[in-house]
Amino acid sequence: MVNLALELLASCAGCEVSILDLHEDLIGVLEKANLVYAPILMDVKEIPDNIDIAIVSGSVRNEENKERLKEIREKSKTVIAYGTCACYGGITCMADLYSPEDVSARSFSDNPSTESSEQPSEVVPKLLPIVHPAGDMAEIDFYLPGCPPKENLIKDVLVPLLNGELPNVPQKSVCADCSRTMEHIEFDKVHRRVEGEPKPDICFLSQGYVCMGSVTLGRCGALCSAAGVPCHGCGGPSMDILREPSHDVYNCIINRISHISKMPHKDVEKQLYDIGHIVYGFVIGSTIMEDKKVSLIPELIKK
Amino acid sequence: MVKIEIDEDACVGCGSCVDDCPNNVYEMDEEKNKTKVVNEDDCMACLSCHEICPAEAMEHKDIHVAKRLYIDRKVSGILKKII
Repeated sequence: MVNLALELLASCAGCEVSILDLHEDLIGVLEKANLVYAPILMDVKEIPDNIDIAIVSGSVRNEENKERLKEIREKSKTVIAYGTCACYGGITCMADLYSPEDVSARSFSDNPSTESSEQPSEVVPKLLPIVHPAGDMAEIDFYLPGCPPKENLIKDVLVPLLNGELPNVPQKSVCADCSRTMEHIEFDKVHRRVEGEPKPDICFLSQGYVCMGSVTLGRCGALCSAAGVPCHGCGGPSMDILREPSHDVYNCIINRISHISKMPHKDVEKQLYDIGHIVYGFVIGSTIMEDKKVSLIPELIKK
Repeated sequence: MVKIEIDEDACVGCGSCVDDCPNNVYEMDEEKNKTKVVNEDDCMACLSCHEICPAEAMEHKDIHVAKRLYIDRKVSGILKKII
């Protein structure tokens, strides 16, 4: 039996729930694995020793997250950074667009959607100056991006790992799974995602919507584009973007819109707004994306 | 010589590689609406088709290692660990 642990740091717990999405396949997993620690499913408060595989989701937002990550790394043979937050920072790292003081104030003292109160000073762990993906704060053995990773992918990855084998799964972009047709149509306006009604069979980029599919690691089955929603890039950067030093999600998406629409690059750039949320939303906390010379992340984040 | 493999399941038939290739290595297969390799010998491994392909549908085999050598050890290390 393999000792399996699930740890969630700063996250929405969606990654843990995604493991439950295995449904009947979960029985097969539990035949091989002994679930020893999972704060969201079990009443075990402290991390036990002798963990074989630890699945860590979420990012490191405060000092407690940092301590927990360090402890689980010391007690585990294999650590998997599970989900986009743990790999590249994901949604949680969008907090880097604001200062920790602004974030706390928005949650407690200056919250427009509830009664304001004083910021708590006891029990609550101190926020770190910036949010870090778990992968940047500890030695990680495997990265599995996805928001959350989809059940078929989890099955294809988790079952071989429990058997001590290396998984072999495709690493194509979202476009590889998308059934929309990419056409070269000239246009001169980039639409906001809320504007108009996109045609159901044509590629979003061909219709002037910012769709991150071509620069995003897929394996999600292109669920969003099938439902009429452009890809937001939740799977993290595609393998080509990570691999090539001069490629970045921003310049590649600009290139592609410009290539399809015949608009000059500068015109596309002028029309893109709020790139911190729209283009870099899921990768803004990642140091490997920030370290690229062409990356705009250093200009966007406040340290 | 370069060997190019097209993953037809991944190819979305947009024709971007046909437009972009400086040496006309690709042509559209109108029947299947997928790209096909017609002049493999002319490929100079510039990988501009890689850059433009939205679906990462092509793989170049046996190309000079310098084309794919990422000197940043941190990135190379992480790339191997992504599953």
